[in-house]
Amino acid sequence: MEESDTVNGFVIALVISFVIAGGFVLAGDSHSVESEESAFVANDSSVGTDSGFVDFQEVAFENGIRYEPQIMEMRQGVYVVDFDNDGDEDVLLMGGKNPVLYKNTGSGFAEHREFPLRLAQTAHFLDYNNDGWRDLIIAPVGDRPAFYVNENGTFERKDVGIAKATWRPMTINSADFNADGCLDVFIGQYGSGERAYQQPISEIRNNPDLRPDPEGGNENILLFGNCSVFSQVTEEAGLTGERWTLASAAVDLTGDGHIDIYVGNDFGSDYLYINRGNGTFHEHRMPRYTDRNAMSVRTIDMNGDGSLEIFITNIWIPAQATSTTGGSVYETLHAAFPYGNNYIVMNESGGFEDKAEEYGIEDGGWGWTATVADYNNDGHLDIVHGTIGSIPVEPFPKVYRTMQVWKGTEVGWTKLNGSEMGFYTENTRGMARIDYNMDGRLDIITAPSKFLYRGDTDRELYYRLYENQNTANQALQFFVRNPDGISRNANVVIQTDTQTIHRVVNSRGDFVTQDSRLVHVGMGGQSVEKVTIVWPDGENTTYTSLETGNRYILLPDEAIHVATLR
Amino acid sequence: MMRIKSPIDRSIRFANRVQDHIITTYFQPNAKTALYWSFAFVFFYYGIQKPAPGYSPVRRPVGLFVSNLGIPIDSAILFIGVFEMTLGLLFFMRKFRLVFWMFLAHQIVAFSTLIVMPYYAWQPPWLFLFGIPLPFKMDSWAAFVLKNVVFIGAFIALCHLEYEDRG
Repeated sequence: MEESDTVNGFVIALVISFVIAGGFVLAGDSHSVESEESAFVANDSSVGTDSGFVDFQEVAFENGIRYEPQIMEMRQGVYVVDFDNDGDEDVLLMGGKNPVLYKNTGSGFAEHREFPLRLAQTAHFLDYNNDGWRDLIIAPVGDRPAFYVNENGTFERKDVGIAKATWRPMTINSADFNADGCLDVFIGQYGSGERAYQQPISEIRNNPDLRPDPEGGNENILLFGNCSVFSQVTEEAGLTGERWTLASAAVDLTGDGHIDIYVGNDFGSDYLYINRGNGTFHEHRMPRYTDRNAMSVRTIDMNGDGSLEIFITNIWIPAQATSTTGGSVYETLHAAFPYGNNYIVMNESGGFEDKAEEYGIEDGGWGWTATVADYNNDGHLDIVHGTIGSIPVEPFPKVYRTMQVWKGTEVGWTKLNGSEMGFYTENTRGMARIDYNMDGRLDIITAPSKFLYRGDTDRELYYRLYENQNTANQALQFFVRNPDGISRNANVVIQTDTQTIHRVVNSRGDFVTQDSRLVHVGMGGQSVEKVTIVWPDGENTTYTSLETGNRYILLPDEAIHVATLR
Repeated sequence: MMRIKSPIDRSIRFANRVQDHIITTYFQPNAKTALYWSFAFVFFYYGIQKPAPGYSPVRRPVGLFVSNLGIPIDSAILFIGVFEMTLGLLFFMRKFRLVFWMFLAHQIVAFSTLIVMPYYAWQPPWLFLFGIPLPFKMDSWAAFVLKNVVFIGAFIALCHLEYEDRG
């Protein structure tokens, strides 16, 4: 008797619950999205198409990369490195079960080793002891960073004196900040715990100005190295605050010969830590227009004048004025994220200006890590950055659900539709450029994230290797290796028969990413006359025998030919 | 010798009598009903929030929890909503045999999030015990879950009352 009562009660309760839940679901689906979708067609088609640019084909499995992301937002990263000094690019992938280092075999990739570290967040390769091999630091959530010394291509864990635990490390860069000949390390950190997550969209709807406290994150960390151990100097060096740092770049932005640090913050303004040259920094708060949602920081010299500009990805939600229900949501979201990417140039008076709108590169959807490189080898730098596959309101224009692509031109950039180039619709976190098959065409490796909203992707999530299908492979490629170690900054000047091109070789750490140190110069029909390397000590080396279509390793006294780009 | 009671003693005695009367007349006979209905209210009301229109505050932790299991987030939210509403209704109907297992399952899953998602539930500083990082400072999710110890205590009391009645 009791058993039948129990069953009957359960059935009744279940039916009532389903009826209520079903009613809500049906009510939610009854929102008419048809008119909204059609309204967005204009947005998609307003972006240019250019079949003459570059197509990409996803080839990760075919090349031995089978790495699956685990849920833990903003941990999925890619780190490109030539760890075994054989002249090709290897890659460390993070954000899966454990970090895995893949070795480039020349015909694809093979798993080299796994680093069994729980909650590993971000990593960085650097030659900390100037022995010519790039060592590895892996910073986790809530523990001390692990350091691995590279002994002739084999990594051994070692205590190098890093005692401070990292809570939410998102970006690492290395440079010789105090000019003592040994590499130092900067670790940019995000907020921890639940406050580290975006405010619910429902709250942003009600209050577009709602943002976490810009000083409610975690402190950034500066470690000075002496080629043997590191010591923490954050406070002594003048770095203060607890911010929401996602990205950084270590490069001499002020032109005084000292390596500065640009810090991109998700909430609150960005900061430029200006190196005084004596081991301390001046914290320069960047203008109000950087108070967006910086997620990637790339320094480039677009116009070849030798001074660097800063490209920063942010969030930009298109306004949608024509629909009814979803429209009001979009308008509010657009009000919350109306400005998008930054492209910051230094003007003649030494101040900064944001010229993203002028160059048409601000509308990149919900941007994540970026690469700036010449993908079609026409001599102009293109921009490709990741985005998210959806935002928690529908619909969202298709063009913003995949890679954001701008083709470089003589005068700036032209936006193209990444969904027509072979890129998948999905959430991308870390990404880096890589010419894995040494064909002279830059490929892209990306780390997709499992995210929390509907419609992120319709594919199984694995890390992607997008192979460049361009037919033009006229490029010059080289690694720069310093006389004492390989990871320090250097300036490169490439003189062709028609122009002067500037590149900076630095550690290239970004948001859960380390981009390749390979210098890739698309020649666009030009011929190279000479390449000059300006070493950290100010000495120059000029190479006059380099030829387009080849990859080299440039040392102070010689150029080693690695391969002919096939 | 007869002791003369002070006004304070008489007041305390009167207050105790009132207290005994309230408890024995109203609380004690209705204790089981109050527990059942309290559980019913909490589970049904929290459950109905999940499928209701608007952004569910548990969407993100639920998403973090179920995504590794390959379960779609929307389906998981819906399931949890139906589960909690059903549990609430069963409490209301006093179906003790069923609510016992469903309640236990609910609490096990809720508390497991503190271990499975430490980076979400807790915030620094963590404690280092023999070099092992241990969570200490709660974030709001940990606080949201840890208050369930009161639920568990109340449920144990309900079990006691239920079995007392059954002899």
